[in-house]
Amino acid sequence: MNKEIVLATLEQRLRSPVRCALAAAFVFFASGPYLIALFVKAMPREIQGSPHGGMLALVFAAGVLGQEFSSGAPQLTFTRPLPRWQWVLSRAATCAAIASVLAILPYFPALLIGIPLDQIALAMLGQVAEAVATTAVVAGLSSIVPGLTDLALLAGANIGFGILGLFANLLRDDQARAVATWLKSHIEPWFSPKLDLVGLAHGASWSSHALLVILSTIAFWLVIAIAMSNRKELSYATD
Amino acid sequence: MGVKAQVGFLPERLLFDRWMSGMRFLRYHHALANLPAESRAADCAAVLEKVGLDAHAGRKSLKTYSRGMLQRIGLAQALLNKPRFLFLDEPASGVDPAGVLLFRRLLAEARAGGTTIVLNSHQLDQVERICDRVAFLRDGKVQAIEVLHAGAEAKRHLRVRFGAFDDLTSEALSRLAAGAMAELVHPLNPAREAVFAVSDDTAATRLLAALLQGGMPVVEARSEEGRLERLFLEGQQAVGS
Amino acid sequence: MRPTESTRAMPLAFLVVLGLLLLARGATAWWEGRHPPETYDRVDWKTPAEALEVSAMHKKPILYDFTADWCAPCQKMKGEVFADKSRAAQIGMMFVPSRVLDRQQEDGRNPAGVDSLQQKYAITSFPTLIAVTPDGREVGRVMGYPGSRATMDSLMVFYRRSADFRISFPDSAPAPSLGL
Repeated sequence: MNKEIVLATLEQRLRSPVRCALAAAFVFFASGPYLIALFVKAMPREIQGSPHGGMLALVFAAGVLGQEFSSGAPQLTFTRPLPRWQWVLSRAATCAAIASVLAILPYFPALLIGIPLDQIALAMLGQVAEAVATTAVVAGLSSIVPGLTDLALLAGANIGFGILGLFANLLRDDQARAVATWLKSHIEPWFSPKLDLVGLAHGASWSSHALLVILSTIAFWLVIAIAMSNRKELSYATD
Repeated sequence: MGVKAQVGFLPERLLFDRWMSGMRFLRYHHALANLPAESRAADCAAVLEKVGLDAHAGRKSLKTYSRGMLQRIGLAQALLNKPRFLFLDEPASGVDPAGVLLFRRLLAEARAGGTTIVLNSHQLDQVERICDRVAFLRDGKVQAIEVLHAGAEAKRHLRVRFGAFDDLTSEALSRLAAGAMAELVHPLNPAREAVFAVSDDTAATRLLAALLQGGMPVVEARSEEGRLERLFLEGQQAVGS
Repeated sequence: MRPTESTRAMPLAFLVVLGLLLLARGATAWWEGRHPPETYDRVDWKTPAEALEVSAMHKKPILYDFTADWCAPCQKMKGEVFADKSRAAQIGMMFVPSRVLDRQQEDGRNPAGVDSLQQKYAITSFPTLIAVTPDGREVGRVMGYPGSRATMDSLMVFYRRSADFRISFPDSAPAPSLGL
């Protein structure tokens, strides 16, 4: 990990008004149920499932590698004695860190409305895990396609899973439904990592498998990101 | 990686992180080159000044830089780690004449300091003035390597212009040149110019003395320029393109 | 770093870690297939005695869940049906749920009520879901776990069968929706 790259990525990401505005929107909406519960007694006082961890990761990690390659800016960075894997990991880690810090913010109002501390802590952890994992997925995709195409790919993948989900529920043929279910349950975690830890506070027991799915997904996509970046030729002579 | 620590590179297409300011950009590269943090501010300020950019420019973001300024900061970051090998791709393109002179001076300085400079340029007159050796590349392959003059010691062509004289003939010139251990390379043209090949300054003096003593009305003598251009075109013809 | 290393090398350590994590992922998938972890149960299970009371009071059918901790399909059903917010809510609206947990394997014997219920409804395997009207008539059972959709479909059929009787809804609950 390289401190200089981390700082440069941090500055670059936070300088984008679009990213910051989107992030603020996600944080605001995720904290909505808890803020409302502060004033409206009838609102249920429990942790709501929310995708904001993954969304925040998308906001900051979109194009983290692809946009750089498209612009040609890393050509000088790569003339320096810096291993490319350090460059990739530093950039990805910075995005993950920003997303994680923001992902825990919506739960602070939850502290004020009496939700048990263990549930809040687990919710925060879960969001951080999803943020980090989604960053890895986006970084990996970003290393393969230019610009912001990684966003488009991910959106397409999620639409695909939605369609598979519909098939899994609505198709008439039992086997076809089984196939759709199997496909969805095995492919979706690679692109849309989820970790529900709040269930632990309600009595669910710990699943090592769920954790290993997240960890192996992170490792997989980061290795892809590094491998693709290692191969990248930024030479413009071949245009 | 040890190689990269000793190399400085100025690319042709100046694709930098445009959001950084000049100084930030230099500090970034200073850090990436693993140079000590204590001297960072001083080093960057020094090299910024060296390339002719002032502190105010250093504070502005690269987005606002003109082409010439970008070229200068590009050279600046290449010089930061005092590299042993400097690779420059069209360094003077888009730079104003004062800048070109500055660059020449900086490159000469670097060269005096022991840096090996590999320069890629289409500006043959600039190349001729600066370089010791020139390689012509075609389709990625080296076609020819020419050793150019490096001061008093090197072979050169002397173009000599003569005044009107009845006995002014190429044969006479050729004879006189041979006597001075020089060679008539291009016979007299209608402008009464002839080109001689001499091996060094001493030989040039000998030649001119021989011509004058032989009664030839030498009006003007200068080093032949545009030689690279000729060589380049000759090379092209040789390949039949 | 040694000076001759390339900046474009993939550190071997990363590939090793990835390989190990993938192996572990596969291994835990296999293991948890056989020993599913307990999932968050959103259904408000009552004891059999309580269930009879509530059923009589509200004229709602009872849903008995005959289950055991060691039974893998039971855990699967738990995870996919009872832990699911909307399905659990539907069950809660249609029935008075009551879990009858078999502890024969773990404890060697069962609490008295469990044995008698199992005998009454002739339970031979787990999981078995049985829908019973407030006056004690069985209107249907699901044996084994045929998947969440099939289970919910069956439960809704049982609910409609038990609708021959007068049923009162708690004031705040809307009519259950048909179809998932």
